[in-house]
Amino acid sequence: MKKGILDEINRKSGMKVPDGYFDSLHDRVMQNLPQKEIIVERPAPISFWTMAKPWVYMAAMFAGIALMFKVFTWTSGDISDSQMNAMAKDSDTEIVEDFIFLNNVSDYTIYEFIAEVD
Amino acid sequence: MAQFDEDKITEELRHPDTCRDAFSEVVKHYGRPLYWQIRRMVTSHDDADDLLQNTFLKAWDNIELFRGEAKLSTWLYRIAVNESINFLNKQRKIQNISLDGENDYMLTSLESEEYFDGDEIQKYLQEAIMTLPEKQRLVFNMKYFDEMKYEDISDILGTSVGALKATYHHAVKKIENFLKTKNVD
Repeated sequence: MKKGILDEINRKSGMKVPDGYFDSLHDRVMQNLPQKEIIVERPAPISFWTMAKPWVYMAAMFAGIALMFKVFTWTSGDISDSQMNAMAKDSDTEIVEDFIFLNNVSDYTIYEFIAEVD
Repeated sequence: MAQFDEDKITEELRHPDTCRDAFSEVVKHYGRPLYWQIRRMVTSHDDADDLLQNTFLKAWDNIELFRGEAKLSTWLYRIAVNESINFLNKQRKIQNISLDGENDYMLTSLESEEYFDGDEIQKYLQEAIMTLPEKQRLVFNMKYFDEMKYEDISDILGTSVGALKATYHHAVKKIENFLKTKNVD
């Protein structure tokens, strides 16, 4: 195969550098580089509250559940007849007081009601 | 001289405490090829030296952005090529010369260049290279002088291998025709 003129030139550009240029290149480049600020990432300090938070939340949750359980068992538990009568009496008295307050009931009606209760 | 282990150096560049030493190895390893890449584009030794310093300075400033997706050499060559092209564009503006008039300007730089001692054929070759458009000149320099693989040139310039082969072929033809007009064959 016939060699082209570019093969004969043998990849030489004819350019040259000053004596010792490449020997000093590294040092000159490194001298020109600014120092980089080394940023070391430190973990953020953990406060007592951060550590205790999950335990406090868990305790609050259990307390809430216990309270709900207590309320549920108290309202749905067996109540004796005397308790029921006392509650009914209290309840009746409250209803009558509300009625008197809201409807401006006359004194005569009140005496009549007291006489009936007694 | 210790073997240059690109993977190890890339890893060390990511850590602040080993970064500077690793970069020092990079400068030792790539200083010479990058210099010649720039020098062949801008002709003048002084300009090439300045641009090489800027190339390493930019690489150092942006070392945190280098994540190793591309090869280290590809990344450095890209910076060097961009620096060279920006410099030539600035020179064009300063000298107020068009793309057509660039050849004359470059030729004058070559003739006044202290660090050029090529024979007549090498001078004609440089003249021929200067007639090429910027992209062809880059591709020709990388392929002819540095004997780089098309795949590596493709990574640096972001051009397909097929297009690079065509570009190189056109560049060679133009240079051979130019040399024929000078009776060099």
